[in-house]
Amino acid sequence: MKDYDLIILGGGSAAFAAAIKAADYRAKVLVIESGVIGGTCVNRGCIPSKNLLWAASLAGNFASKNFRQIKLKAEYDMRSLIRQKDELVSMLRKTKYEDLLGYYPNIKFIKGTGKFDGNTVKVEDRRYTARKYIIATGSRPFIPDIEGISKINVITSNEVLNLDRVPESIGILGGGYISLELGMYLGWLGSKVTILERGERILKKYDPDMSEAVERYLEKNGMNIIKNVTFNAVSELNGRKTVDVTIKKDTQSFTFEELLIASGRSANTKDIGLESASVNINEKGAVTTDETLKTSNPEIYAAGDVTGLNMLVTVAAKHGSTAAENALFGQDLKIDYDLIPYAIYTDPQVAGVGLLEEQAKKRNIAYKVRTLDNILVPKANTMRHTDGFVKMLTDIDDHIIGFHGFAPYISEFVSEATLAIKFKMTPQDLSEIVHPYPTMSESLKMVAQSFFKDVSKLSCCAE
Amino acid sequence: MVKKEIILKIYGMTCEDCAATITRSLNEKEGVRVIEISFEKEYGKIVVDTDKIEPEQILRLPVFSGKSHYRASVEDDQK
Repeated sequence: MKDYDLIILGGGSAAFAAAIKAADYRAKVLVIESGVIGGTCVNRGCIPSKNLLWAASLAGNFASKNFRQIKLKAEYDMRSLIRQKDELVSMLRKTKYEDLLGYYPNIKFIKGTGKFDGNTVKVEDRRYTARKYIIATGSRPFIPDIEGISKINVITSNEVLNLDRVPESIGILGGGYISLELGMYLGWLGSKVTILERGERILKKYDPDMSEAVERYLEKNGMNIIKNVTFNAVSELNGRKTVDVTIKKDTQSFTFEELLIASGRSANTKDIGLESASVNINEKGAVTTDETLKTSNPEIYAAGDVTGLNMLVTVAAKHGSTAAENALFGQDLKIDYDLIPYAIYTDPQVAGVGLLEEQAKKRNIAYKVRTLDNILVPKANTMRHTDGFVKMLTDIDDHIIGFHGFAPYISEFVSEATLAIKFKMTPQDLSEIVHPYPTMSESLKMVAQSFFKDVSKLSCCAE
Repeated sequence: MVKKEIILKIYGMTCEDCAATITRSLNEKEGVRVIEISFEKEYGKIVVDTDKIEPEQILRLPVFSGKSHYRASVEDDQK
């Protein structure tokens, strides 16, 4: 007789989604968390970062040049700003995680470090058994191997959200979404921000036209973006951090008050006994799984960031419920990653769903694409915020297969594109749907219309 | 014809009616015959004709998947 139906290592969104799915069917679940309940999203990720980004954007918008007729100067108290963020995190951690345990009597939560010992889990001296197991131990910021990095005080996405003063300058290693969001946050508050990117472009997981548009906009708004960087060494003198780099054979040095490492995230797979349970990991340290999230040990599944697959909280939660269904109840569910939307909370925002052009090319899918500049969208003009664009991809059957953009509020209407893709809608279908006017969501309708019309020759809301 | 007895652990039952619903649904499937579904013991004993249905497929029948209130797993010693 096993102690539990399901044991889950980790206590974040993947773990809770799995536990709740199992408990919905009255299964007996044990959740073992070594750190703070709630995981990255609520404690160190989405919630605190979006709270601070929103607050800082108010300061940024006061200083914006969109309306020269209004001049405002933002004043802010960083200590108090960080305190309200901590209060928000505590409140959401309580309502979204801690309090839930009271609603699900079948879920037992224990604090401790769970470690596999064969097909059992040990927490200190106590051994637990279950019918199935899910690894949902999450991820942490990746620190690249650069000479001197372990000897100086660098910060990651964890610490930057606790800075209670605005550094005069900050260097950010990496040009992905974490870097851009945090760069924008500190830039709005007044830091001089420099992004140092190894590759040829920022946001390299997205299409090149997106990278170019975002880079152009950020540079126009005062961010310094340097690409093709090889990092040679980092050092610290009197609290200031110097980065020695080579850029196209030229060696250079940059000095900043703070150095933020935003070079991706690593799966938390160390010291949890994976070897003893014959669970394989890949060269990046993430747990390898099949499409059903089953690991190399058929009794053990993995969910969330620990798999290294598309590290988003939305994916983590989907993983959690899917892994619980497959592991415990013999289902064969697979996740359609093409229907997972993404959003980057810069301003304008970057968001999208479905295939990128680069993905369509790699998969040899014949596609048509149309791009609509935001200058053609009436709402963008009313806000005098016309930078950016949206674009739509269709397949040879005229079904919408992708929608991506760099536009204000795009994260709020990207779900409409998710529905369009899931239900195989065509641009004609979308163009017949009345959108509120004026809104940025109208850009979705307009880019759909642009497959068969010249939208610059249409009156307001015309089909 | 190969008949195999399978013991299921059944999750999600809240009353005797649930057991009756599951019994009726399983008996409608060709190759499956219910011996007993017990709400109290959260288990079921069924006989399957493995020429017609594999034991793992039982877990993915509509009564144990999708929007159904019930789920099942094959008891360990039955695998």
